[in-house]
Amino acid sequence: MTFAGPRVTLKLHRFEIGAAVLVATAVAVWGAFIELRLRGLAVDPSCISNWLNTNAGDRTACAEPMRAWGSIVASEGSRLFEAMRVLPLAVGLLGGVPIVAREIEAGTSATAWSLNPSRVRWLANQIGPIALVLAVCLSATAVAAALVGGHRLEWGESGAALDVGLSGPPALARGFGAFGLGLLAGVLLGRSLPGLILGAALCFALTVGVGSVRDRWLAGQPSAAITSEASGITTGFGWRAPDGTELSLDAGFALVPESVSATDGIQRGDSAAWLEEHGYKEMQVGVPYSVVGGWAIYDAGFFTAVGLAGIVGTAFFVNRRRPTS
Amino acid sequence: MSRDARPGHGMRGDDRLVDAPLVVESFGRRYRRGMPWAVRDVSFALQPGSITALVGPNGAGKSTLIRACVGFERPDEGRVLVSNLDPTKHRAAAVRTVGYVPQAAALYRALTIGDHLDMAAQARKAFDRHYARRHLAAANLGEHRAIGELSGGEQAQVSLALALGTRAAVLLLDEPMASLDPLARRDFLTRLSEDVHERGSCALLSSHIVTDIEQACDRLVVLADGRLELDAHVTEAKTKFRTIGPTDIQIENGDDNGVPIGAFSGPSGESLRVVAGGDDGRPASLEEIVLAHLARARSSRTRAAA
Repeated sequence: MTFAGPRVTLKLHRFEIGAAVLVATAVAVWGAFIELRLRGLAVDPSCISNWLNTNAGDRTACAEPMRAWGSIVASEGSRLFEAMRVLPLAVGLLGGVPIVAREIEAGTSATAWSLNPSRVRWLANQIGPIALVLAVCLSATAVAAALVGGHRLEWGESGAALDVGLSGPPALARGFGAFGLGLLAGVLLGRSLPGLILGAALCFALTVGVGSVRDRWLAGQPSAAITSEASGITTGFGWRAPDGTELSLDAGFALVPESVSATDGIQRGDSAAWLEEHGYKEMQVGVPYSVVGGWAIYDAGFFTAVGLAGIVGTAFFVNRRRPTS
Repeated sequence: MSRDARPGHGMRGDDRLVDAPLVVESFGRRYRRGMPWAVRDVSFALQPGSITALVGPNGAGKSTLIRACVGFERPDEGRVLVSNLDPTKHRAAAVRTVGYVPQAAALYRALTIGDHLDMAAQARKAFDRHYARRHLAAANLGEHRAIGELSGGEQAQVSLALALGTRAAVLLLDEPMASLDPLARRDFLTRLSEDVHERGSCALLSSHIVTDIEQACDRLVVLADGRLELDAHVTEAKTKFRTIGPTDIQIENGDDNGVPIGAFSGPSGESLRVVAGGDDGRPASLEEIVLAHLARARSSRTRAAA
């Protein structure tokens, strides 16, 4: 086996691959640094539980490390995940767009496609090394993000449950999806910069669309109590009866005698007070992360399918496209 | 009228078509329906061990024809066979038998010559790196040199070395010498001739420069306005066609004054006519033969427009 072919392919696209590798590695290092700092604080898991549950245990003992831990998770963790919204897509596009677009743009497709009897094989030889390098770098980033994402969930960071798809295998799948879309945009337009712009627009449209579908999917999931032990996406509130029965907000208010609720007004303050006096506790209701996490499979599956479709589409057009000279 | 003098019917029905490494048969191509044909009704064949010159003005359809032979263009009429394979139906197998040098040296500026050889070796199992290296060494081109640093002529030599390294039976060269100085053109043609004659391959060389054709090519195909104007052996053409100048005595209305081909102005502005056959005037040079056929195509077009 010779590595001359992959070496030449990587050399040909060294600037885009270099930029993608640099950014992905930088974010991976950043994520690893956050994780190491969090570990360095050596916060006892019981501290986190006590800190989040106002009714449990002594919070003062953990105050100092918990403030530092929470600050890192909330500020730097959030920034990391803001970056992860864009990074896999950017890496995929940077790697995918120029593979065919540059050949057509520079007129080198005439040489490449006359030397290679099979254009599909040529495409595979181009995709293989680039995809491998990007996948390795993006995997490191996805793992680092997954570690930090775990702490964000632990901390109950708002919106952390919706970060599903931004770390671990789904992040890799997003990169692959963008890679396939970038390839397709490149072969269709035959120019790198317009291909990059089209690819970015398609990625943006897809992520918005996927987010919308995810929200509808979540709305269809059965609700459960959201607690510090079972965090998730809060969709509303409810009541827990003294015997442990969980009631919806309206079902709880329906128990309040009419004489109390009549004076309630819009805020229902008197009704709530009455329920609390009678041992009912208000609770958050929503979709637990154990259920939300199930979306990761659909997210990863969808972007993988997009990536595959992009590659197959590119092979189709590469086979039919006339090379420029 | 001799067969070679008839436009558009150079090799049709020729028995040599059967074993020819490259056959173009009634080839026609237009880029959009309703638009004029880029090339139409062109037929000829290449024989092993020969270099055929494809000559014509800009827009005559030379590049379209050559690109069709590599499978880059799909014929709208007729067909092209490369080593008995139709590149539109069996592209992979057909491309395997072709070495192609595109019009503009389509090389990767960021890569070195050695990288190009690596790329070619990955693309073609049969790529003969040693053979390509030999040609590069003869052109004083080391593998470490970056394409971006090379002159146009050197890039053309690299393109030729890549095409020769494929050891293909058919070499297709689309105006590879346009950017070369006379000395570089001579080197290029010398190497091409050596390869074709050593290996018994064949080459289709598109060029504007008739002196080059005279040096290296043994067959001449003239295209004008997408039509075949002439398909002839260079030696045959030089004996068949004669140039008649204004001072040449002609036997008016006689049988031996040949078939008129075309008239054009000579270097001093004198009117020259080329005829096929006959004994008048002097043997035509290759340049005069080409000019006469192009002049004939132009006057046909003018008549058609009128």
